[in-house]
Amino acid sequence: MKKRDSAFKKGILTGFGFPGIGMSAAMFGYGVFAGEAGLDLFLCLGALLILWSMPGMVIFVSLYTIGTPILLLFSTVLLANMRQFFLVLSGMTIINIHSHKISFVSKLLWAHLISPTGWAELTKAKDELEEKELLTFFKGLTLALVTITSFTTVLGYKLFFFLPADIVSIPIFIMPLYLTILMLRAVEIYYRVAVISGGIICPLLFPYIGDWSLIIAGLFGGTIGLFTSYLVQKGNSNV
Amino acid sequence: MFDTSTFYDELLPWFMLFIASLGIFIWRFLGLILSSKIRKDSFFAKWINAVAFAMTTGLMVRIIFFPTGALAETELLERLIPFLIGVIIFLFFSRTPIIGLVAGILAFSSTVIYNQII
Repeated sequence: MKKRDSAFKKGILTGFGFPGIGMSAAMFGYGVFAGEAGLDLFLCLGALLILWSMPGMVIFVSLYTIGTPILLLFSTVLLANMRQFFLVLSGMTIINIHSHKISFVSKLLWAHLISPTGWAELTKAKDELEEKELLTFFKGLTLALVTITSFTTVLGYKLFFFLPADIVSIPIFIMPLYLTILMLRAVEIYYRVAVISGGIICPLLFPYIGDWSLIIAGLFGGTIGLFTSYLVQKGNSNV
Repeated sequence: MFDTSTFYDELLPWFMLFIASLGIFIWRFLGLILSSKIRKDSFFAKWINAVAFAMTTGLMVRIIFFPTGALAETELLERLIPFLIGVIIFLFFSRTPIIGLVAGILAFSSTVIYNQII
């Protein structure tokens, strides 16, 4: 029981630390964006909690405010969020969600709340906690992230006309730097190679193929990483 | 008499949000279902994790090169140089990652504040 409490507490503290600051800064920017677009505050918060995906939220606000047809809205969100599949697949495997005796709806809820920040913290926590504690850790982490991001979304929405865009950009800069550093902390060689390949491939392809660059960077980066690991292992066994 | 057009007007944004959420839900649902078929220490699980690592980094680097919103108001070099400073300092002090993070944030903030002043 005590162990579970400490995993939950660790999740809460992690969520309110740098990961939460980085993510909430991005959500502050989203609040500003939704305020600028003239979205209703409840709809802005509803989109945060129901979509829980930055690209999805930005696409929704952009397309909804210009009155895009439903089918186009659906297909754009669908194509831009394929990465969720890999994040959920990886995150749920790390937590080993199916070993926990919880209902399918609960499992869906935790799958829904996987974000790049949440997933990155899980990959870090898996080396520090026991496998059965990871779900409890994730619950604490998610509770903190939902709380802090809801607060900063409302803050951004209310403050959008007071703050210069340059100053707003400072907290938004934290998330990409923090998550890149977190990814580079990976110990295994295949993850490191995957991180570097993904970081190079995605921005190179983005001007030509848009959001598909992310999927291709992921698939190629991950495959290059594992192939490198295979070559290194083969080389070592030959020596 | 009850005005149905106002009722539909109020519901329409939430209906659009529901449609958008389906576009994400499909991937999450598939991810959850397939995760029951994968062994945690298998080769496939490693590959999926490596893909997620590459995608997350790709997304973060893309935000630096092609940002949207407030970050897009800054110049590429104003974002890229502090980002590289943060990453390089992290590589030197990898046991204390916060040093790289703080260095990068300080470099970026000072550039932005300097631009505001002049």
